[in-house]
Amino acid sequence: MKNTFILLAFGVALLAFASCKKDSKTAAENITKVVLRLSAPGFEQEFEAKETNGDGIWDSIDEIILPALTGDITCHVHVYDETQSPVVDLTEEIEAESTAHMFTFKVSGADLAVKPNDTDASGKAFNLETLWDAGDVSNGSIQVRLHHDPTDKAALDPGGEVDFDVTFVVKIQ
Amino acid sequence: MLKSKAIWLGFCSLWGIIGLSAQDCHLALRGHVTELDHNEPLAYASVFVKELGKSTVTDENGWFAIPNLCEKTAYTIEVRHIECAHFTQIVQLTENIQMDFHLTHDAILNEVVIKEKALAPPPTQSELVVDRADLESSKGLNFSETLRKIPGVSLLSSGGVVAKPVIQGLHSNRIAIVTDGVTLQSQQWGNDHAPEIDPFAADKITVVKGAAGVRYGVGAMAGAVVLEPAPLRETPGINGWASLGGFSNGWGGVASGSMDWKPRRGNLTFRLQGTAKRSGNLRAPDYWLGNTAAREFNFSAIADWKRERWHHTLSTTQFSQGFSVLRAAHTGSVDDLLLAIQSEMPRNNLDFFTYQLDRPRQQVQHNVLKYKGVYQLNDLWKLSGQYSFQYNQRREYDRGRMNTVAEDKAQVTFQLWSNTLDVSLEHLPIRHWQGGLGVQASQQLNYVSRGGFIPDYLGFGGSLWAMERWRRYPNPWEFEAGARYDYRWNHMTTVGNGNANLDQRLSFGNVSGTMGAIYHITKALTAKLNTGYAWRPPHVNELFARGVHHGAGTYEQGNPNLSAEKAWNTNFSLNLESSFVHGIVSLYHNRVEDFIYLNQPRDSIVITIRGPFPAYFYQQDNAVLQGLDASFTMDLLPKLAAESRFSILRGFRRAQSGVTEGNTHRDWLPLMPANRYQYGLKWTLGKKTTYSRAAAEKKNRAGNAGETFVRLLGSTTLRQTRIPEEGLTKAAPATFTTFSLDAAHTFRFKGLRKTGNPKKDQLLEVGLNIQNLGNTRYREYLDLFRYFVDAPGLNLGLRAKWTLGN
Repeated sequence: MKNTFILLAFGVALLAFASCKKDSKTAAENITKVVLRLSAPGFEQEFEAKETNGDGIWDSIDEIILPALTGDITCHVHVYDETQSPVVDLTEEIEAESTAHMFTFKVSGADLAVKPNDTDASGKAFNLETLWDAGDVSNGSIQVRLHHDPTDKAALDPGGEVDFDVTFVVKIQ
Repeated sequence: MLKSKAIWLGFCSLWGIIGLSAQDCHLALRGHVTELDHNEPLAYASVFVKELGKSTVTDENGWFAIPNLCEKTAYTIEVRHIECAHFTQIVQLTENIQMDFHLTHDAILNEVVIKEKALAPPPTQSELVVDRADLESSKGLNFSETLRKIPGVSLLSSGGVVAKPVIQGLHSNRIAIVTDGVTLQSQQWGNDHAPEIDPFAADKITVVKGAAGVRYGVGAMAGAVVLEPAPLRETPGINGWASLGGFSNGWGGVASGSMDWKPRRGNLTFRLQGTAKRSGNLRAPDYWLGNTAAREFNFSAIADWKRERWHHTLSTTQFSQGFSVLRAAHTGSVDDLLLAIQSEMPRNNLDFFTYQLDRPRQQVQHNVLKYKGVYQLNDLWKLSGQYSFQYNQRREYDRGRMNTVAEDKAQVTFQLWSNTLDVSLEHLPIRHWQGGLGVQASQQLNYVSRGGFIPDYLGFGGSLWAMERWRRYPNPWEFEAGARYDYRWNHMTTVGNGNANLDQRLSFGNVSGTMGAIYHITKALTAKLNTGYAWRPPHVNELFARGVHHGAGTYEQGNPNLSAEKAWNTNFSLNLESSFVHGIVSLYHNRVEDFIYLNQPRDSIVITIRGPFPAYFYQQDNAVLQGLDASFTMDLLPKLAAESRFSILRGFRRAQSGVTEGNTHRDWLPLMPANRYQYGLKWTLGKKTTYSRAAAEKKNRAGNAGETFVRLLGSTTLRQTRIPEEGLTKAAPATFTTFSLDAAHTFRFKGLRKTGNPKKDQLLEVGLNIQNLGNTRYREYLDLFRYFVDAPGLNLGLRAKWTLGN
């Protein structure tokens, strides 16, 4: 009788542990690809940054080559999670939550001006779409960041959390 | 107590005069006579050995000792006390034995309970048991806090919530944490991963310092923390305790309870124990530490069955904890990080109180299932088998963009399944040698989600060990020797981690050994010398980590070429136990070949998807850690004792000089504990504090015999000046001093139902514990959040423990 009890208790405990299943490999959202879609009359190109192996470091970042003195080029940012199957396009969701997000662009070296071309739902900066004005022939870089829950959208550094931070090399030819 | 010691030591001297006869009549029976109901010692009880015609009386604390008993000879022991039932017991000794005699009052029932145990030989290594008062007063805080006062032990912490013990400068995978015979298998490699232990389930905590690999396996290269639950009840009935505590810092509360039940019929005993804990944001002297709330729920159950030669134990524990990680420690870029480090006040701090657990946060769960069976082969030999299953799950929730699907998902999940089987054959003294041998087999499976920065792995291990101890009274020498062989095989694979397509098999095998001696210089002074060789294979994270460690806010990269660490650890300690002074001084020298450590080359930054992170790399060098730990307690007046403890450590590595191979120079190791001094006064009311090992153990075990005391303790930690030549990202914190105050008193109430049976009496132990009495602003060198915020300020804790049944 006592042995039966012990065996029973043991069985119950084993059952309790049997509920520990392997988790799906898919955890929280991972931003693994950022695409800058640049378009102007006669100019249509995409430049992308990709992370492929899961170590959290960009594995490939395209070089952005722009024609000099072409006037405004529209830049639309697209954000993807390629760890999911099918691939998840996060851009629409970011747009839907525009007040909680903001893209920033910081140019160094190159003769390039970036101007906002949209606002969030409350009329503040959002920058999913921007206008790029490439000047003279020059080389430099552009740092693109996505902030969420920014503390001050009017500040140079809007604060909050940085979801991605990528620096593209820019060549104006 | 004086008298009991005199008796105990007296018979030792007696042996010296008489010498040893041809027959082995050198054994001693030491006994403690108490009244069963209140566990009160019975003074002046007469103890008579019929066969020898010898008698003695117990001292004022209920102790007696009978020397010169012969091996394997039956003796009839009669214990009489004027207020209690007369009692007779036949004993047959194979070793020096300590027996507890619990006598009942004549009027109630004629019952006697005897608990017998061979006097466990003290280890030849330096060992310290956490004082019961410290154990009780720190319950409700995290587990590592209970060890803080022990010299040679410091804490590696991440703010006030997460802390792990550091023994003589070493931590994590170099320390074994053993709970009720099961070595904790969890994600201990992370500096921000605290041990998953509920201090309320432990009745006794022992810290073994130095190489303990032979006894506890390759994880115990630098020592072990051994936790033991309270012994289960021997007589039918129910007993238990309930404890409530509150803390002002974080407005935390903790409730814990335990219940033991032994039915009238049968040989089974049960225990159920549980703890629930909640606390909000902690507060530094000048501001709230935003996002430092925590929740915990723990549960354990034991079923124990003894019959004839068999003893089975089945137990299960579950530890579940959620805690948030200091918001101010979470920075978005290197610029932010540098600004945060330079700032005196924390940046991005959420300076308000809440119980809310916000991201970043971690959720940890640890389950243990254990079965142990012991079969007593004969008077001398026993065979034990133990199987344990452990499941550890750690989820790390970072602050990141969340879509609706992934809203409550963790960025990283680590899961570890461990199966361990131990079989050992142990014997009581045979020609004065006591020891045993055993085998261990283990299996581990680690599964990491994408972005987890360490690979998945499957591991198998096997071990063989043997250990023997020689002692023969009155010879002042005792010797110990042990050897162990461990083999580990790991298969590491990666899916979606930085080591793309990793598929590697690695194996490591090596021997460990220990040799030790104890010499009883005088009755009060004992010297111990132990030297041991221990090793450990590099952990998977040290070999193959690659990615952002969200919990620590760092980028870590392993080194696949690391070899196993080998340590030669020698320690010498002097123990003084006189009637008014109690002291331990330990000197140690630990020479570690291929010491593995995480190094941050100055200004080393890695650009990740989410911006730049400080980068750390695993590397190895030969290193030496040496130092001195000491602890003294001295009675100044009959009720007033002074205490002092200090720890001094020097840890350095042989660093490469220039580019020429083999040219090395000495460089200090990073993250080595600074020198620390503790000093205090303890005023005891009622019974005087005793310091002998046996008495302390007895007191620790008694559980309900709480003393009334007030203790003021100061602790001064010096600035760490021995830092790596590469420098630190932020200068080592200044010297600081904090004070704490402890007080406790036990009330006794008559049973609720007036049965007249004192067995139904209830005890209420109340305690007050104030940490950082002066609300001092300070930062600790080993606190990983010292870059951002001050340590928590004043914390006033009140606790009450209600013990019922006996």
